[in-house]
Amino acid sequence: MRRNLAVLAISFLALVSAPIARGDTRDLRWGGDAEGGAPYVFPDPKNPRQIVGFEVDLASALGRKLNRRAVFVQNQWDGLIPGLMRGSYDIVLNGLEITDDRKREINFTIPYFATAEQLSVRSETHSISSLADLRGKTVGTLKFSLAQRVLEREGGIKILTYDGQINAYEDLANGRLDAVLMDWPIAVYYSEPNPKLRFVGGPISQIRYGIGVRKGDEALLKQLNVALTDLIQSGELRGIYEKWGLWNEDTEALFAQVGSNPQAYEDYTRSVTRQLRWRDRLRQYASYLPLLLGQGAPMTLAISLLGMALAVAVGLLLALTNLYGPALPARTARAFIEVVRGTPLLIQLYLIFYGLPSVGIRLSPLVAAVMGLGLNYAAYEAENYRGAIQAIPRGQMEAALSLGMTRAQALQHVILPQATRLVIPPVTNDFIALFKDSSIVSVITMVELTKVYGQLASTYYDYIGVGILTAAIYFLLGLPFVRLARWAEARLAFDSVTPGPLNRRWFGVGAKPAIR
Amino acid sequence: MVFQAFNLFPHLTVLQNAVKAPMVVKGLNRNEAEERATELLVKVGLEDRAHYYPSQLSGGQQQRAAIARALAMSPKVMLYDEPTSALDPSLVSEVLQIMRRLDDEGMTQVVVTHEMRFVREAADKVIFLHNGEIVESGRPEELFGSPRDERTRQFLRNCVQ
Repeated sequence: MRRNLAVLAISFLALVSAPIARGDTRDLRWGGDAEGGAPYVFPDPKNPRQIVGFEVDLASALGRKLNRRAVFVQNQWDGLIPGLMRGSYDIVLNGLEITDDRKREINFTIPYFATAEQLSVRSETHSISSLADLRGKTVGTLKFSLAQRVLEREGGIKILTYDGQINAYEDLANGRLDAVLMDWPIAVYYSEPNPKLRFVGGPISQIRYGIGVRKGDEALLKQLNVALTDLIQSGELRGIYEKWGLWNEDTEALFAQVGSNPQAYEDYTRSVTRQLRWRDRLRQYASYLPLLLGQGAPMTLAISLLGMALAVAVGLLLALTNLYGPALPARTARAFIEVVRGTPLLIQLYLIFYGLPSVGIRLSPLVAAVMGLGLNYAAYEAENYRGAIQAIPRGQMEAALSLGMTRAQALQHVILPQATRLVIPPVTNDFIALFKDSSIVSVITMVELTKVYGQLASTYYDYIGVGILTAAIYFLLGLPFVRLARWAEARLAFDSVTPGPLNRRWFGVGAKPAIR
Repeated sequence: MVFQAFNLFPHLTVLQNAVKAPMVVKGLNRNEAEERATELLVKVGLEDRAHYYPSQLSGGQQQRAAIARALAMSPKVMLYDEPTSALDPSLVSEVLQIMRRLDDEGMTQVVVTHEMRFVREAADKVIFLHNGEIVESGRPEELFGSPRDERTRQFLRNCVQ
């Protein structure tokens, strides 16, 4: 299912209720992400302090059966399983697909809902009617979702991944995407009501949602399975789905099997513990490298280098306009610097990528990412340059003017060459910061290093190993630039007090040893 | 124009200091500019320091380099703003010598200075300023020999001491 939220959503409820709940096992604490949207768990539009959704109804029904009070605990969706293992809540009940990867980490109850992936296109699109038609097309889906893996397996598709379904369907409607593939319940709530969009093709792949339970919590698992079976056989669960308009053939077939032979679903509850030996683990890490180095690292480098080039150029322009321009442009440059420095990069990226299309400017993710990072950092670079230019003694400008140079010539030949050396340390600093800030552009569907990390970590539930690996790659990629900056700084060190051969400096004009 | 604090371009060598403006302002090519600059460096006695950076030179050498830089633009008049007051007393004479030689060559030079001996010997006309006002002016022998104003007399007395 759904998105990870770039914004860290720490559970308010978990913080408040955890100390009490730990002692009182009567509460059935269930984890989910209310920002995931309808129809799973979401704030009631009529009363946003109240959460509703078919899973809220299911949790209450299970609580009644178990004679425990169901208490919702908010947790970022892609961190739901780590949260469960940490003990933030007792179960995960939030559209969690039953997969082998996940079964390695946690136990699943029998499935409580069956569905499939649903393809949506614009109403006027007639060239796409199945997964096979997507070759060469741009298709959107949610981060870390089964749909993403289905698309990747299909191959030849340009996949853009989103944090939220709303953005994906909006981009489909405004033409940035050719199609969107998502879990059917999401499509029912976010695509079907939109007159600009329509469903095409039949169900794709097979999705079964199960309730996640910690390994070792076998008693709770058994109780939940009994309760679910009861709810299925009594028709109560079907009632919930009908209320939410989600009763479908897949789930009907699933429930029919449960009714006739609940034993058949032991498969789902019998989770195989497959402990990896360290050798296999190393081999697994090695298998991540092509993705991290081949896909993530080049994109991170490209975004950072292009972004920095833009920042340096625009920053210089801003600094010069601010210092030497006529009043109005100077004030405009000043205002740009202050506003851009004073507002979050994340929001700037959202505005550029999701906001500009509403005024007719539709940028590709790469262009939007480079622009967002470049313009943001340009504000910081402008201040670096201003500081450096103002640090050059006034006599330099006076001397240049007295020799007949114009102000512009003096800037170009006298002031800026000296300022360049002064700005190298702060600009290097900013480049390294930008290099790491580039991870933020995953929110506008770019797949760079951190995004690849997120995908790998959430697939294998290995946040530590893959995390260290990714951090190491960032560090090693940044290192050459740090060295380059040191070298450039040394090369430009014209005012060194140590006399000596100077042929390595500036233009490298042949020098004799200096003896005084 | 020659400054009290030299104001050489620290990121350029002595030679580059002297060719920058001719190339940028007059559009000379590097060869022409360097040829002319080298002549000037010979004149100020810095030909062996052409490829040194200002930070590697003594104050007197720096001021001589600054004079060469100003001469490179072939000015009609040279202006000096206290050219020797930032210098070690032992280095003053090397700068004054250069100015003397320029005088001999007929260069018009306007010098703001407190070097009274130099003024007396080299100047054609002396203007005595006090608080931004011209107190008196004239040929050096008049001004030094029979100053009319009390302030001039006071100043010259202090200089002699």
